[in-house]
Amino acid sequence: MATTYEPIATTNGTGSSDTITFSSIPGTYTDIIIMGTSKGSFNDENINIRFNSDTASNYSWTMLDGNGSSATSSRGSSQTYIRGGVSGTSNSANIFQINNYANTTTYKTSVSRANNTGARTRAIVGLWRSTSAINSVSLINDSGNFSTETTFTLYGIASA
Amino acid sequence: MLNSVVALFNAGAAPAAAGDYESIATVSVGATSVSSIEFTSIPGTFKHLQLRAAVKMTGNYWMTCQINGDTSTNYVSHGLYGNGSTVSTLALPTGSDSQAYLAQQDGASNQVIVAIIDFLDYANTTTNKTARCLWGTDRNGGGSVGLNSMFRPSETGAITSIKLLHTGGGTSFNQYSHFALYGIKGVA
Repeated sequence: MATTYEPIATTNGTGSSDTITFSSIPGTYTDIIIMGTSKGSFNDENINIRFNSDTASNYSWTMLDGNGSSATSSRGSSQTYIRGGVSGTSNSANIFQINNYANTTTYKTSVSRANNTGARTRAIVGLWRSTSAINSVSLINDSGNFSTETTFTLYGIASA
Repeated sequence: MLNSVVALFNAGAAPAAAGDYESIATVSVGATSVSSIEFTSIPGTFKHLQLRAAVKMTGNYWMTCQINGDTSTNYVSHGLYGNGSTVSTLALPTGSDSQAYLAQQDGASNQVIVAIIDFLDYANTTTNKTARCLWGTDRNGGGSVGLNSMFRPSETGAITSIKLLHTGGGTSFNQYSHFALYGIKGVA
């Protein structure tokens, strides 16, 4: 059996940028996973995802969210990003899973699990309406910059 | 490329050591749709299993699973999921169904469902088996995302086969569906 689940790259927050990008992602895996912890400037921040630097309205997402007092579900259609994760002044855990990312036949679907220990926990599914292989992923803090305590690692998984 | 830090469950588990996450088998559905797929002869040499699926199904059905060919009502399913406006729960106690409910197609045929299913401590023969699933499907204006679990309250046998099927019957796993089973090692 083939060993897999390989780290491809790790990127840390700088404190002066709201974006972390993994680029030149090889197409040699079946799935890619980005996992890490994030910290920002505000109590309750969103992390948005874009693929291949596409800023057009080719994204959508469906979310399940719990904040300790209520559970809600929301949706974004024809968006310029996938609402994929959370950040905040507390360290937040995010794992983004992008299956079949390199195929050139189907639209790309991601699932995420995220929790901001000071605010909420989430499960999110996102869609990028493109059949292009994903070769870069950008994580964008919608409220402020990623602090230097932020770190994300990109992994690749190859099936037999 | 490094291969030193691997294998993390969906949220929160510790990374494993090098070479501890291995591909066991993969099933891809071709031009002819199928009613089910099955992983058999699963080796008992790992600590946990992870099944990663990107599925296209026909109809508004649940993708389900059966363990070790068991078609009796020895499954318990729970779910928490949202469709963009409503949060719903699922609870199927033992004796109610002959399959465990994992992920829902939710209204539109042939949209990709991504499901990541963890079968924990699958090879031991003393505890009841459990699994969890993170799943989602989105179609730009529709879709659902959820967390489901499976429990086998009366079975302690090691998991040696996993069959994925669906509540609709017929041929429902369509072209471009992809199922990959991985093993995660424990400490020897």
